[in-house]
Amino acid sequence: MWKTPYFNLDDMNAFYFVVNVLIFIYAVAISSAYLILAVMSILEMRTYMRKNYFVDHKMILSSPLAPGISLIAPAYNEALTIIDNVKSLLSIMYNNYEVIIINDGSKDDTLAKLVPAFDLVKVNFDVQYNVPTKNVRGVYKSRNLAFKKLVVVDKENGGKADALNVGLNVSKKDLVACIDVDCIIEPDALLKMVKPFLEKREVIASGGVVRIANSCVIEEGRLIEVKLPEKLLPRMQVLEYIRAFLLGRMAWSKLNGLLLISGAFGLFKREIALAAGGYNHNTVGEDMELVVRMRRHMHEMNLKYIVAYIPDPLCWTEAPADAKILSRQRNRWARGTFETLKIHRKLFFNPRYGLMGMLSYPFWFFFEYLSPFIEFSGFLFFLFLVAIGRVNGLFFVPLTLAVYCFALFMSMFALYAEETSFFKYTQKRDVMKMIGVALLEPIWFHPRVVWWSLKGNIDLIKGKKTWGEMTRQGFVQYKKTEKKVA
Amino acid sequence: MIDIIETWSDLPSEVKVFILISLVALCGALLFVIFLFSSRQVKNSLKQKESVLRSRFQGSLNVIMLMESSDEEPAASAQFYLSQLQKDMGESRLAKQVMTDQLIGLKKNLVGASADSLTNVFRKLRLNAFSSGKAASFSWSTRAQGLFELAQMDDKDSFERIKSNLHARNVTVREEAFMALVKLDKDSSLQFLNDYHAPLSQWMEMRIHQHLSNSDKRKLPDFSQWYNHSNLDVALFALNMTKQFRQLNAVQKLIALLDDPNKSKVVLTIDTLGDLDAHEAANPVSSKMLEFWDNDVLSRRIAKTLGKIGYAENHWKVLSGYLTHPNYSVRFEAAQSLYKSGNQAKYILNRANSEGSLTTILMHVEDPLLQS
Repeated sequence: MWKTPYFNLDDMNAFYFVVNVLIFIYAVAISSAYLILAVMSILEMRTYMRKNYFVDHKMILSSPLAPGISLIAPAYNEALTIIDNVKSLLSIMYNNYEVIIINDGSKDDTLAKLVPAFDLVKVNFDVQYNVPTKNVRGVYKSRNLAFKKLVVVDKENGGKADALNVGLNVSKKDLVACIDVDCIIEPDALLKMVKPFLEKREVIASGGVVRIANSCVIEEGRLIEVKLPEKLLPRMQVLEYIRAFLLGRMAWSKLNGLLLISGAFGLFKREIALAAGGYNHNTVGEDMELVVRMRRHMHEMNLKYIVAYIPDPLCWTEAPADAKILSRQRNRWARGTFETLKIHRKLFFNPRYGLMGMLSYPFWFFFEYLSPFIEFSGFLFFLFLVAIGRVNGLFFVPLTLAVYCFALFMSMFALYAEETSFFKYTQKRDVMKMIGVALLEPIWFHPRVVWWSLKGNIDLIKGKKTWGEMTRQGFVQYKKTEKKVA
Repeated sequence: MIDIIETWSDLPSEVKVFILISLVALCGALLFVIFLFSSRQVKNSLKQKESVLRSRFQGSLNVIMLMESSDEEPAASAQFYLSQLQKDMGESRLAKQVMTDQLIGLKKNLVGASADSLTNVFRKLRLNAFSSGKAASFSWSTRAQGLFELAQMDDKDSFERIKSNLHARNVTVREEAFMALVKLDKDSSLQFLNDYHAPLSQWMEMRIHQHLSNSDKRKLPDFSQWYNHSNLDVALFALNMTKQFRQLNAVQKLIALLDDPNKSKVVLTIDTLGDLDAHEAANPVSSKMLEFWDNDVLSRRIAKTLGKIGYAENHWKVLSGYLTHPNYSVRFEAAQSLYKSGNQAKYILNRANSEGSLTTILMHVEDPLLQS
């Protein structure tokens, strides 16, 4: 009989029992939620694919009825790739659009490179500070008619949210697409993104799938060939992105409960974004925060609205290829999630905000924000039980196996969804590699993600507000390396 | 085996549950892998079959397209190629679908006799019956596909069947039926709009506009007949089309619409009058200044439209009134309109800026690189 001098054995047993039951309930709830969302996503995606059998997106290209779009791309120290990136944005397939590049007080020669490359001159643009931002030093337009869609704004450094707000202030179009300047946008991305706005007047924002472009063949800002990343860490992220975008957001879109449109590429109604107050400067998760605030604004104004989502891969981004940079990104995501949830805590189980208050927000709180804490606490509890010799192998092994198999099942579900929808990884060996990744991910990658998220929360308590430096290898650099190797 | 069963029955029920979950999840994962590879296999073999069928059909279709069409019985050679196609196609649904898709694809880029001969092929091969069958399906996607095919292949006999889908519950079916009617109803264009009470999205407007742009402009309907349609979507669509197709004879009816109680109609009416350069509407439009002063959207539209159709001092005075409007975009639009309206208007603009409150706006509108 095991006894401690401080605790009654019955109390300890009751404590173990309660903790075990709580963790078990949480595990069942989160697994069921993800499973339901995955099934809904698949069904919704099938509907989307069938519906779009009839669609000729190119029709939008030639239509005078197409709404105007401003592409807003903040740039900070992007001198290395800015010319190629802007050229890529200027060659997007859409008629009524403008490209607004915001030089957010870069310390390098980003602006100095843009001026001669596009024959830019300073113009007397009367900037209105509808949303308060840092001072705009100048607005530039090209004298060359070939670049008449380009507007370059030079401003004092204020961060990504501040730069995007300047874009909202300067924009003259009804819709604004906020993008990362170094992303590769599919040529027909705007045509596809704008369609939900044309179908339903209530649409206030739309998002698309972001995919990972590491090791893909890129030429002059265009994605030529899709390839699986050569390095393991970005490959893990490919699986993670497919799971998140194909098996989650589609279902939230169907429920009209989507809270996050990726900052890499999202399209918004400018009027609503401005009315909601633009991007929040005080959070590093400004993309999610804006969507939540726009939704909240619509609820408070008693207006019908839809946040749409389309499953087509429209934007390709370079994923962090080393653990240090990835840790910074995940640290920032964790802080951003918490900040957004904290700012909008009023929504928590608030029936006034409908599905957003009763389902989306609680889901994010319990299953996105709390999950790293619960997972880590579970791990610590397990270590404690090992230390005091209370681990029952008969339970431990089947339980671990069940968790692992479920994770594997979800990954395979995601790969199947990708295969039957957009079929981007056409080589058989790529699929084999992805299956390998799925086998490895729960034990090699996921624990690290949990740790980085926890660290993000610790940093938040310490008062960290910065983005953290995100060094990128760069697509162009990749291309050059490829050529050298060849 | 008996040992396993005994061990299993000895296990605590929680452990049994975990093992069962593991097994189910693992089997599910394996099934997905099997589905994944078999789906790829099926997809590839289907693609191959389609490609073989397509190339087999293409030869005969090329010959048929090049033959001159006439009202008489098709020439013996055409008959030969048709029976060849019929033989190649057989009763296979896949072959029929490939053929239908191929005909639609080819017809998209053709007009005149060649396009007619493709329509003929569609009928002779009884593919219209195949598409009609789909149009009666329970599955919304199959039904929409059938309607789409019938419309693309100009199957006028299906008009009534298509019309019955106009108020279908599924939005895609409804849209395809609508577009099919637009396409097939060549003589009394869009008359079915009279009884149309379902929503009409901007996407649909775009599709109709594209279709009308490619058709005979002389046969376009007078859109003003729908300005007072009980379905607001139809009324707005009619206004938009008046603007796009510059139906100048609608100006008087448009002026009357300025008094409509629906603001979205008034906004579009003002825009349309501006785009039609309807100078005769300048007085009625400017007279609305005070009535709509508190509405920023309408004020901005009036300011913009007066810049296009205003011609007299009293119009510029209305515009100069807007220079003190509380909304910046209204002030900006008024300044821009005055700047574009000649020397006298510019003089009014400069006088309004005597205290320098409009300097930055003026610098903006005067900048040649910022002219819209």
